[in-house]
Amino acid sequence: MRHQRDHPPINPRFPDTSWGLVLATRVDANAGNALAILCRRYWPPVYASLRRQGLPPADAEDLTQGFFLHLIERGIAARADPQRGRFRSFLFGSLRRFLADDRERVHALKRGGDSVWVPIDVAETEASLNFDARSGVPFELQFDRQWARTVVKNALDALGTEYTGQGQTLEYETLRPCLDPGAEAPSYAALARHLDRSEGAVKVAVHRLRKRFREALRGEIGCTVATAGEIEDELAYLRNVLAVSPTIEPT
Amino acid sequence: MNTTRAGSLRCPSCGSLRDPSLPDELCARCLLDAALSSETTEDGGSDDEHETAAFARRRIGRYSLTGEIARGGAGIVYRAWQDDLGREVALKMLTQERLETREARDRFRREAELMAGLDHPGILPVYEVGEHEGLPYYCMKLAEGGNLAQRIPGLRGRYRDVADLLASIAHAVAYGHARGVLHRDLKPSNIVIDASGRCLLTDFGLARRMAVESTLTGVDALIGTPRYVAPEVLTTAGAQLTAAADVYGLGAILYELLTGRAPFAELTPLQILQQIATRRPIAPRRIDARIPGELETICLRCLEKRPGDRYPSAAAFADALEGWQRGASSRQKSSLQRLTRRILPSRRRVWAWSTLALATGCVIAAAILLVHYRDYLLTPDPRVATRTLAVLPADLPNPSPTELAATRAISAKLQGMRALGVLPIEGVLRRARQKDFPQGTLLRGMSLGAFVQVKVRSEGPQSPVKIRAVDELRSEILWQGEAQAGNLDDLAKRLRVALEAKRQQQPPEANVPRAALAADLRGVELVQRYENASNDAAIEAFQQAIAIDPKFALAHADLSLAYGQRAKRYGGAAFWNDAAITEAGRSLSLDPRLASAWDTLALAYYYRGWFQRARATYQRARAWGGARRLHARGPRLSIGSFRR
Repeated sequence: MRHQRDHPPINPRFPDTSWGLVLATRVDANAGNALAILCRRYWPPVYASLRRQGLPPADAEDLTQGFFLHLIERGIAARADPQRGRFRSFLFGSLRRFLADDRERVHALKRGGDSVWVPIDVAETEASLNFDARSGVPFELQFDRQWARTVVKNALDALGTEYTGQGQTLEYETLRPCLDPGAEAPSYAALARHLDRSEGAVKVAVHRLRKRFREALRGEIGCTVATAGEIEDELAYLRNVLAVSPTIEPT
Repeated sequence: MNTTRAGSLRCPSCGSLRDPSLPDELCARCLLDAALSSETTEDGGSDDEHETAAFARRRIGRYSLTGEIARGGAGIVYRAWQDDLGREVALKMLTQERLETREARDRFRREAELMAGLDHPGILPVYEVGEHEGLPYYCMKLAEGGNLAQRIPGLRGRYRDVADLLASIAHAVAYGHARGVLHRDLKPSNIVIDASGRCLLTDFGLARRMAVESTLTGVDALIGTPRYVAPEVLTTAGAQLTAAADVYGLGAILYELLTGRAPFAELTPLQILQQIATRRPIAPRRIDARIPGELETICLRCLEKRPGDRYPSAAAFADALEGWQRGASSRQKSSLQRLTRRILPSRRRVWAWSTLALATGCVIAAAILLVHYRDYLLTPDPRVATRTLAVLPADLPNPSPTELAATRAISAKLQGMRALGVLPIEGVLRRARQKDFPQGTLLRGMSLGAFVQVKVRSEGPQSPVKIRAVDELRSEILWQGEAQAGNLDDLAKRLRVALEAKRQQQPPEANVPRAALAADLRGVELVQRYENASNDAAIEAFQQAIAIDPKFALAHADLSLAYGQRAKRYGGAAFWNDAAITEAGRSLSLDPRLASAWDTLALAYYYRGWFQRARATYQRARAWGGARRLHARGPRLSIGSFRR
């Protein structure tokens, strides 16, 4: 199931639907909506954490739903400290407290079981679960890693939506491997043949795609931090948590 | 949870775990890295270039940096001028970014120390190891001639030069081994050429001391350049690697120098890692028939999957190359000398007697082996059995006359294929009529690996004929096509070409231990019977297969199928379905493209009542070429079944 994601506009860098807005407006109804939209885009780290706690898929899915309901309905975001905190830290902290409280969990499990609030595509997350099952990796680091992957995936999805909107799906899908400098993407000549364009035009298109991706990524991260000034730090942090042996402590 | 999947699931570039939900095998970390480090500035240059230009104006101790020679994943090599001695040198430093991680600093320091301790004419000498304002660096001889990777086109066809060059590098590697140092990242670009044209081994960034536990083992299984990395590097802890891993690297370089391409070229890094672990490279002489047979043999021996099957040491590899060179020289000696040698009667008699004695010895040894190991030797090897193919009408056991005629025609065209026996059509039909078995069982009973299904909807020479070749073991559609019943020649020809091409590739199961494969096949046989007892036994058989080879992805998928069957038929549905989902996940973590695992995952979702999810997963199975493994034995679930 590919549910419709609520993508932020890629430009400007700091979008409307953002954690900054949630923190700034607090009780505003718009803030509630913004939080709901953010939650819809960032359920995979929560679901994956619950699965790693040993919950079977169905329960993890129900509990994910319950957790988000709990978060929205209790207005927990309104209590977040605007001075410190990115959406990632807020969600992780809330999840940890939530898991520690048995009563909340049982209640949420019941609630989550019969509601479909956050559309969840478990198949993809399930397949990626085992990929991070290294023993000894701390819970928070696992959460942050899944978070980093979700950020990248959301940015790619947003980029895909943008290209599709311009009728350039083929261009996007063909050139996408060129985004990864470590990957061995096909040669410009091969890409040019495939797209029926000149090599020069393909180079320009790849350049543009990379630029748009950087913007999309920063736009996506912009949604999850309180101020635009934190985007670069968060980007560097997410890059580091995905390292084989991260050298920094999770924040 | 499976924790032994290092290798194919790691990004070959940065070593971090991949997320299969990202398209095109993109690596999240590399993408983040790219977004951070190479933002293009307004004047068209990249930040990296600006950083380099600024850096190049700096001085490092008694060295003035004059330019950049190369930039790798971990470090930058600068051209520099050594003021006090008045000479040009190469200076290697960590990139600014790598400088921040302790691990990278440790590795850099270790590389410098290792290289400084090696004194051999075939190894690039290190002059000085130092630190400047907290920045570690080391200074080495400047290799003016570039590296071997740049010279590959010019070396094509110069077999004696290639052998000479590789032998000298092999001696340098052997020297390292004798001092307990494994290089672990042998590749053409790590062999540099000095002003006199001599090849020198360099870049010991991944080198380590043999049998010494390292504090850096966390990434040991993940590093190395994918195209040249030995299969055991993907699965073995660093400390357990032996000289054979470097022998593999030498063989991979030889392969590239002979053929102009790396053993597993033109693939994505993930595919390369999968192929290194499972497939044999194409024989060099198939790429270029002029390559001497002996060099091909030497090369392929280095690339054997099992370390024990390779040359026991780099020195032995060098000996083999030098032996070939001597042989090649002697072959070039005058015809008079050859004639003289041939007419020496005593020498010929000795050869004749030795050959006879050897032959007699072989016969006796074979007889002893047969008596003692008869059962083992006469049990068909399932891997060999998969080399047979049946051509079947779709409408078994009673096909229409046109379908039968088309089947016969296709079958006749496929006869005589290389390395692929085609079963006689009459035998297949007789068997199908005798047993009211589902097709899968029929095929299993014949120990088939693949079958070609011929389908004709209507009668007459104009009716369309569809054919589909299916690898039964992997549930993979190998090829499909369509033509009119009256004109099948071209269709058969294309099928034949496609199948022969597939046969040249070894199936991923080729390296699975025979016992594990046999247990899995037994389980598949049992799971098709749809009885409580046989389901128990099937689960046991699959578990046994997994116990023998925990990385046998197909067995995990089959176990998932057996759990799914149990869920559906014997109660405790949710529990067994969850087990099936977990097992399918394990299988996919080992082989994300295994169609039958996606397939069983879809089935488990379906029976769990998650129809949307099941449908999406099933589509994924189809995307990987999945021909429903259950098409012949289980409930037929078309994609329409999921539209609820």
